[in-house]
Amino acid sequence: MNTPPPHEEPVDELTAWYRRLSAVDPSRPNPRVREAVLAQAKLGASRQRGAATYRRAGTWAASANERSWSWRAAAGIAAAGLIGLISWQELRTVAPADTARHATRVTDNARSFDVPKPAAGESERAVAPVPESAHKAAGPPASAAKQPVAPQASRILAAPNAERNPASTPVPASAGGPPVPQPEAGASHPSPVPTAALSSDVAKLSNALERPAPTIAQPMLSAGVRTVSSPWNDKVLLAVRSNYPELFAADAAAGVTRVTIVLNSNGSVFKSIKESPTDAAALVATEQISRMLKVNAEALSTSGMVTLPSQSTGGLSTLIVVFGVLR
Amino acid sequence: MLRYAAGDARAFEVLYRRHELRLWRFICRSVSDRAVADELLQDVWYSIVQAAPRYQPVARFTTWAFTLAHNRLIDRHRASKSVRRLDAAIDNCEPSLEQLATEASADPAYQAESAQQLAVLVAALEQLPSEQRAAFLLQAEGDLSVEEIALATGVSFETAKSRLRYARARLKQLLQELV
Repeated sequence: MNTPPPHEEPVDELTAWYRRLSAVDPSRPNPRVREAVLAQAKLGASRQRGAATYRRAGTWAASANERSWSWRAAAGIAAAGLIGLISWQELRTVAPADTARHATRVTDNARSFDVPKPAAGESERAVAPVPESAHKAAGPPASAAKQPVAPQASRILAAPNAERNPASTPVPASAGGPPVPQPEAGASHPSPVPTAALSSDVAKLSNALERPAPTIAQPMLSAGVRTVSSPWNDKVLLAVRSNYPELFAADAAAGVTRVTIVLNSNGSVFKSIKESPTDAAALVATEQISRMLKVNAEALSTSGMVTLPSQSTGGLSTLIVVFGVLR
Repeated sequence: MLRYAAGDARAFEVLYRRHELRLWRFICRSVSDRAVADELLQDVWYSIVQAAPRYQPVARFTTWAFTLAHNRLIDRHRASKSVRRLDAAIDNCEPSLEQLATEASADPAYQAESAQQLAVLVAALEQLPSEQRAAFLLQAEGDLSVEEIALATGVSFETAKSRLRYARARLKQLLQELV
C-alpha cells in the first residue's frame, strides 16, 4: 500500500532541518482522539465484515432466484392455505357434532337438584323444553323478587372481569345472534340456588362427566370473552359453582373449561353443560346455548359470557361461562 | 487499508499509529490551534473509516490521507475565515519545556535548543501564505513528491513546484529575520 513515491526528490537542507526538529518534538494529539477513531474503526470493521459475509452469500442469492424454488414456495403456500381452509371449515362444523357427542352430559339440573319450591307454573317450566308462552306468563315469586342478590356470593364468586366492568353489556347484535333484551338495572330477581343443598348431587354428576381440559392460549380465549350482565353475575356464578364444584377445587385440572348454562328466571338452573373447548373461536352466547343446550335465543331474556381467570377458579387455568336466562 | 476494508480492525490500528503523528503535525502547524487540530484529525480519520469500503489503491495511502487533511483545512478556512493567532501558535502547537523535559533519553540542553528552534520555525511557517505553507508541510511532514502535492492540492505540477520553491525561499528569509 505504502509504495515509495514515484520519484524521490533530494531533501533540501530546510526540509531536513524541519524533520530533525519535528523528530524531537514531544507534542502529541489528544489520546481521546485515538480512542474515538479506533472505536469508530472497530464499528466500521464489524460492518464491513457483515458486508463481506453478505457478499460471500451470493450463492444463496443465486439459488433464491431460481424459478423452481419460487414455484416450490408458491405450491407450499397454496397447500398451507388449502389445509387452513379445510381446517377452518372442519372447526365450524365440528360444534354441532360435538353437541350430539356430549348430549348425555347435559344435566337437567332442575330435576336433579333440590330447588326451593317455586310457584306452580314455574315448576313445570323448569322441566319442560322451554315453552315460550309459559315463560312469559309466569313471573318470579313476589317474595323472592324482593330479595337482594346474596352479598356473600358476590364476595366469593365475583369475577374480576365483572368487577372491572360491572355495567351491563349486552351481546352485540352484530355478533350473529338476535338482539337479546337485558334486564333493567333496578329489576329485582329471585334468590339463588342454595349451594349447600346442591353441591353433593352436583359433585356426583360432574365427577362422572369430568375429563382433562386441553390447553388453549390465553390470547385466543380473549376473543370470546364478553361481559356478563351485572344483575346476573352472582346468580350465574353461584349456579356454576353449585353445579360444578370440582372446577373450583384446588386440585382442579389445569386448562380451559367452558360451561354453558341456562337459568330459569328465578335463578334456578334449567340446563347446563360442561365441556373442554377444542377451538378458541369467538363465541356468540345465544348460538352456543342453542347449539349445546337446544334452547332458542327467543326463549332467553338475556344472555352473556363471563371468563374467570385461574385465581378465581383454583387449579383451572380459565373458566368460561356462557349463560342465558329464560324469559 | 485494503485489509481494513475487508474488516480487519487491527490493520487499521497499525495504519493509524503509522500516520497519526505526521497528519496531526501537518494540521496543527496549519491551523496553529491544538484543539482544532485534534478535531480536524478526528474528522480526517472518520472520513478514512467511512471511505474504507470504497477505497481504491490508485495512489499511496499517505497521499490520500494528506489530501483529505488538506481538504479539511480548506473547508475550515472557508468556514471560519480563519484569523491567525500567532500567540496561539506558540502556546498550542509547540512543545513546552515541561514536555521536552519528559523526554528521558534526550539531553535537556539539546531539547531546549530544539524547542527554541522549532518555535522559530513554526513562527516562520505561520507567516507563509497558506498555499505555500501547505506545499511545504505536505512535503516535509507527508513526504509527498511534487506530483503528489499537485494532486493533493488540486493544482498543476508546475504550480505545486512553484509554490514549493517560493515557500522554501520565503521560509529561509523569515528564519534569517527571526534568528
